[in-house]
Amino acid sequence: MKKFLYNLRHNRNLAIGTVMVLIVILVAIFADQIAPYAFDDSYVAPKFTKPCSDFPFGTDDFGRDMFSRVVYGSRISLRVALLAAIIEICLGVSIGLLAGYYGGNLDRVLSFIGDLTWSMPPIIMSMAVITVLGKGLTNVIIAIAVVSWASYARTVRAKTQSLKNMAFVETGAAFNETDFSLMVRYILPNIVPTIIVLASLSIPSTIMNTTALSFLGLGSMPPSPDWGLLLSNSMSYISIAPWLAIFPGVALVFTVFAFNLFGEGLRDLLDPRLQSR
Amino acid sequence: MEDTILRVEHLSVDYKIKAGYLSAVNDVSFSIDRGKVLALVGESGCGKSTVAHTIMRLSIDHNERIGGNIFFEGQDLTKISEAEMEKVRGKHIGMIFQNPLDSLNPVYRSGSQVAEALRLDGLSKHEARERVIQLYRDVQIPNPEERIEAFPHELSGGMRQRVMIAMMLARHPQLLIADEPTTALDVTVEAQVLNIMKEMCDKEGASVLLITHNFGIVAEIADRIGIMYAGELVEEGEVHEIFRNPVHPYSQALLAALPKIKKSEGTIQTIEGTVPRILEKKPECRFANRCPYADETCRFSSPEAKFIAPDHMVRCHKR
Amino acid sequence: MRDYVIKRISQGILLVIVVSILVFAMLDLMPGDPINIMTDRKVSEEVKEQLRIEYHLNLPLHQRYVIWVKDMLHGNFGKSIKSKLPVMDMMKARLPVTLKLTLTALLVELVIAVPIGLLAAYKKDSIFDRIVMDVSLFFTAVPSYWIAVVFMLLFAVKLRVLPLSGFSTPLHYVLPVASLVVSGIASTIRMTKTEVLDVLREKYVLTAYAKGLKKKSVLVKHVLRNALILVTIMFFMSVPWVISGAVIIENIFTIPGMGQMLTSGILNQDFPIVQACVFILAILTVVCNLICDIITAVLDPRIRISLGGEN
Repeated sequence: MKKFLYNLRHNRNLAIGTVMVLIVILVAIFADQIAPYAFDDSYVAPKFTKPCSDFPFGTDDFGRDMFSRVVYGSRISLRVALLAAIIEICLGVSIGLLAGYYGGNLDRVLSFIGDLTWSMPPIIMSMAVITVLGKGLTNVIIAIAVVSWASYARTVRAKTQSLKNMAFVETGAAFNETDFSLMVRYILPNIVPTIIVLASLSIPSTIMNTTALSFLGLGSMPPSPDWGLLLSNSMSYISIAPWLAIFPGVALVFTVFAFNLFGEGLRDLLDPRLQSR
Repeated sequence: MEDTILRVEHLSVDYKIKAGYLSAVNDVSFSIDRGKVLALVGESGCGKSTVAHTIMRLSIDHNERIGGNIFFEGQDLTKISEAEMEKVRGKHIGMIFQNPLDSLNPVYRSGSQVAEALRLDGLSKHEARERVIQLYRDVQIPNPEERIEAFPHELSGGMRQRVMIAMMLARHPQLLIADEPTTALDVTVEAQVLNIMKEMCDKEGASVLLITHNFGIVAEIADRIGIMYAGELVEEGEVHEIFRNPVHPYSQALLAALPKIKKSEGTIQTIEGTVPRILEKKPECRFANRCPYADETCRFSSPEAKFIAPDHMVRCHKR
Repeated sequence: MRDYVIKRISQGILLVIVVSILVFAMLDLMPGDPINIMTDRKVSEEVKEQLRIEYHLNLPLHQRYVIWVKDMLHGNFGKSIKSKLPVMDMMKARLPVTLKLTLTALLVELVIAVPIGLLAAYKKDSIFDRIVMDVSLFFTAVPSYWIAVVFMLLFAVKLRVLPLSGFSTPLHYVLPVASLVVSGIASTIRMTKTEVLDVLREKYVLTAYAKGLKKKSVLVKHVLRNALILVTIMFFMSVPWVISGAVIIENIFTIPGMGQMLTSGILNQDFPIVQACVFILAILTVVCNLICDIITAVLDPRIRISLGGEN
């Protein structure tokens, strides 16, 4: 923690990123207090009201307050990022541990599947998964997680392979610890910093991909204030109400940029040699 | 003075780092006579490689501050333009680096990299090729006609270093700087490569500035020896003189630390402590914290270079 | 070298087979009877039975796979459920559009990004470098579809200098390509700079200086050539990624390409279309990665040996 605070002062990106991430998190937590209206309150003002002091982001085609909708949208983005990260970590870390620990044919098969999913563009892959599972935000999260666990698995596998032969693990093995215990109690704790860095580095692309799928109409359904959905809705009114396109986009870019800075800063701090894609 | 090819005067190099300047080389002066070999010896990090790179004006990050003068054939290399320096490099001064694998470009054939140097002197492609084959023969690379087509990774370490020697002597420089030329090689190969280098230089009449931490090499080929510690030249003189009569406490310790096979005393002597990183220049002897003879004078004033014999320099308060 | 290429190609074929099985299995992985998913509730049982036979759904899975693969090898991807048109004909009309968009975008990206990346590396820590790095870091965070929307607003709605949608004249290319490349340019600049800096630190660059080469020759012959290997790899690596970006961009600018076809296929539950699109994109990805590996091996003898000698 002390090291983190020290770095906050000396690493510009980490400092700015942390502040920006905190802003997004606070907005999401206190959405009820910040937003003057609920995200689906219609006709709080005439439709397509231009941004003004009462409605800083204007209103949309149902006369809903865009500011409130954008604020509530942050909850969706953060929830998506968190859920996807949890699923990815569970999948990726366990597969990486198994592949790295046991090696042999198991490793070969798992690595092959990993390389396969890793080399395919995630949007296309998740579209295929959504075709099978059906539309909807939950399915989009599952789809994104199912196609992006491989980056965790690769790194965890490599780290496990090198840790497996370290003295402290071999000592554990000599004391008849089970394989499971060796993996979870001896190896896993040493990879936690790496996993944290990977997670924070993958959040931006998770958010970008899920909003993209919502934008295409495959994710969140109206009246959800998902930023991707807000943007795709704005396309129909782009010549009469450009503000509908501007503000959700700014919010999205702010959030993604925040996690980018935060993730890179965290990497420099915890695992400088880790390369992101 | 006619015979002096390189004269380094009061050279100092400081690297700019976040906290200020790191003194890598401080007030180093020496000279090399035509056809002679000077060895700079010291622990790793003592600044000997920095001296070599500074003479060639090869800097990676361009974050250093250089003081003093480097006279090569009467020309001050610290003053001339980059364009003039390009004419000196390779043509008048050649340089061999420590690791021969990193030093050759992996995507070009070894022969073409030597030929590239020759082409600078206006040789045609064909002439360059013939000359490269001749050079490979001179540095005793077997089957030179085939080996010029080999990529660096297809050659062994010793072969690669021979290619480097061929490349750097191809343009008949008057001075060859060899920066730990055999450190990365096996002991058996080391002797061969050194002999080839020495023979080639003798044939060409080239002087050598040899950077090494290996006294065995020094004893074999050097005429003079300079001992460096923490960026300073602490003792300099003729090889036999220094070996017989080391005066600086650090030189004495270094030579005592050499395992002596004849006497087989059982223990290997070591020098306590580590080389300090000098962040700010203070009036002090940089060896004081490891020196058995150090007293107050050593801790609060820098020793000047003095000559205890016409040809034997030492930098120590106590001698 | 030949062994290496053969090894990589057989790996690629294995990948394609696995992908084809996965794509084929999509329909059966769905919960419920595929026929019910494909048709309305109103359709009579006889028609359903007919469809079942038409789509070979009465046969066991492995036989259906064999038929499917055979059909595909004959260029028959089945018929669209919605429009009843052969998928192959639709694909023939749409794939070239997507490829044209993608390749234009990639070329634009490299032509702009690589020189800037080189300059940033060469003038490291200068004001130019710092501005470029900060700006590009920002633009890696901007999703292409929002850039598309902003560009539309600016150039099509406000300034009215460029068409809003469609893909008929060269002018129609400008906005889609521009929105597709912005974040790509940003990340390519950053990658090029890192790579060139790595090369500049290599010992062989010092050797090149030491033998007397002029700075320009060193940069062109020793730095650029080695850095260009990376650029080539980047080009082929990014093809699949740019295509997946194109999927979104095509929808925004209503460009009749494969991305639009795929999206409407998913929305309409039109399976043959989704299968064909995903399969073709997957093959394209595998082929690009393959080309990428082989080119690297040809250009960089180190990799040629280390990878070839592995087996």
